Amino acid sequence: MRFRTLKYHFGQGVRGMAKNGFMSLAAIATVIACSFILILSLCVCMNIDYILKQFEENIGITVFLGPDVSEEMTEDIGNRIKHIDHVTDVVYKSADDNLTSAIESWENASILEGLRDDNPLPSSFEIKLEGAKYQDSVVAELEALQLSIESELNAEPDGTVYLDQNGNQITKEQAAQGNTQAKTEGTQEGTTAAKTAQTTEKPSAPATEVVTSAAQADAAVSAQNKQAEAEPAPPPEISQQSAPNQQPAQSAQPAAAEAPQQETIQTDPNAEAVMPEETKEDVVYSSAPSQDLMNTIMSAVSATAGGGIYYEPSSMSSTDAGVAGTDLYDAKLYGTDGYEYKGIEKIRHATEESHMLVRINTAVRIFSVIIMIILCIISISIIMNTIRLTVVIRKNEINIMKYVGATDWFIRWPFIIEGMLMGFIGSFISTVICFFGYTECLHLLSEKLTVIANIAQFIGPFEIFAYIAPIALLFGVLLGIIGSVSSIRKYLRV
Amino acid sequence: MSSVIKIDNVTKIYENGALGLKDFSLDIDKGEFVFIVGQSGSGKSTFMRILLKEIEPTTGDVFIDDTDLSMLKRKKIPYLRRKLGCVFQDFRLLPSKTVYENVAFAMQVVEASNRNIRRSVPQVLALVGLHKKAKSYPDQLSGGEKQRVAIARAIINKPPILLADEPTGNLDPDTAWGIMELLKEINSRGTTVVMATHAKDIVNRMRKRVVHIENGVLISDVAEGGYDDEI
Repeated sequence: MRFRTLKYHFGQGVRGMAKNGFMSLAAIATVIACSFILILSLCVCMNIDYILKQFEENIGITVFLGPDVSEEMTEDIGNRIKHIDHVTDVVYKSADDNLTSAIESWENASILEGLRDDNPLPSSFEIKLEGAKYQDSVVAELEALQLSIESELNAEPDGTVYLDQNGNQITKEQAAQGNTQAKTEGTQEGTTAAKTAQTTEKPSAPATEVVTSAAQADAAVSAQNKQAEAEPAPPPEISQQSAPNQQPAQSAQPAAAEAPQQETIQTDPNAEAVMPEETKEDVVYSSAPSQDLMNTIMSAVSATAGGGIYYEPSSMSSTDAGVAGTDLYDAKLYGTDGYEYKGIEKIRHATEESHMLVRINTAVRIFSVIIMIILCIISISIIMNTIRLTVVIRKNEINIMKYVGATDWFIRWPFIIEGMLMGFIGSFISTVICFFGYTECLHLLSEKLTVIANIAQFIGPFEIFAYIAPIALLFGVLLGIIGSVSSIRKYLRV
Repeated sequence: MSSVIKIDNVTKIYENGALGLKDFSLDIDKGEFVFIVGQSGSGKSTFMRILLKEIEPTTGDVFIDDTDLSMLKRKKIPYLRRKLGCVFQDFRLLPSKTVYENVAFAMQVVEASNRNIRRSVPQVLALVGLHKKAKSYPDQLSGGEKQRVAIARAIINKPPILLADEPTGNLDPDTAWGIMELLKEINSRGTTVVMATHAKDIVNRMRKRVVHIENGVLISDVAEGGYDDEI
């Protein structure tokens, strides 16, 4: 379209509006009324949405950490929580922080003050979500994290747990030290035994040769027996189980394989039992196989855990080692109340509340969309009727234009521009009215009804109208265009 | 001869069953002045409306300037109408526009330049003898003057054909004759004029080609004929 034609259409549109003054006023008034209702319902819906969001934000998830979690671990857990989808914010609260907020929320705060030195509260992470609807998935992720952190805490990166005789965790180096110690002792004993055997039998066989004679086996066993004292690893949780096994294994009796009651370590005695029949060197290094044994037990245990039954570390105290095996099958499930995990002790969340919020939110949204659609339909039909009246007056004009050879679009444009102008003016007026009305309402609310203002925050007039004004103006303009285009359609068929 | 309007065996039956035209054929050459005569309801209006592609013939073909109207898309109709200047019995002027604006309007519709409009409109108004009334509104004009404005508007875009549907119907004889003089003048400048009328005296005085339609059927087609001429 050429510029002068556009200018012509614009001029025609403005003139048309001025010429049909009364009808234009009626149309503008219609637009004002329609967009007024639209803006009002938008304000209400957006504020409800906003308030619900505030509630949703308050329904966060709290993760409590175990008492023995190191600072590094805390940081690591925090980072991993942050990387969960839909988590917007993670705030660390130390035990002290939690005590302080407990004191603040309590009236008889002085009672709690005494706990400062011996704080019973755990440290925690306050987790905020994008919305209440993500609560379930985030909780599921957190539970997975809880499990993996617990297993990480139980095992070093290579999957081995090093423990000293008292069942305390020790470092790899310490364990290695114990090993070498045992090794040297065992080697000394073993060589002596081998030497004795060699003196009784023929000295032709080299020390590394496969030993077949019973005497040699005996010697090897005795060496092992002695060395057993120096063995670094009766592990606490597992060692109680392995202890009875190691004994028969060391005494080189294959029958001892039947002795253990625990299925989990049934394979181990066999491995141990063949030991005496192997080379002297192997026998001498029997401290190493005992390390293997522990690994096997560990993997057997974890395999059982993977099979759906969870063992409970706390119940496997050293006193009821024998019962531990049976407890293995009666173990409580993860997440049972009262059970405390090592890393993330507990996850607190408000599933009920968040589900309700999500439902309310969905209902409000559906409701507002329906209202908007109904409003639009009503508005369009009203505006169509109003504009149609102005078009009927100009039916002759359209007719003449058709006879002189005007294209449909040439005829339409002035009407479109007229409709746009009327729509814009109408929606602009009602936007201005609503803006001041809304500002005044907020003012009154915060002044007179402080109760409500305390419960919920409303969206500021500028923020909400930055959003609503374009919608309302667009709505008005579209209303005008649709109204006029649909009104003149009939008269274009000439 | 190059016929500017060619109607070939056209039959038009309206949706309510009324007969408009029956097996109607007519050739009109460039520069001709043709009267279409007949009583009311004889089919004159059907003929005019078919030419303007307001209605479609039930059967048969219509060519205007070698354009087959049945092949013409709806979007192209405005361009067909720019070839056909139209004058009606009831003038059809825009009452809110001055004489000048009414004429200029036809040029704005075809997106002519303002310069062109400013040059052409006074010329045409001078041709129809209304250059002094350019700023008047249609209400302030007599019937004859209104029809002159309508004719000026019809010819401003220099269409090859001028269709006039009873242009003298509302006018007294003297004024009517003035209009006929104007149409004759326009015809002499090369525009084909097709005029539907039942004004006997005008037809008889003009001695031009007369096409007589009765009940949708072509009864007679006489060059330099009169209203009541038989074959």
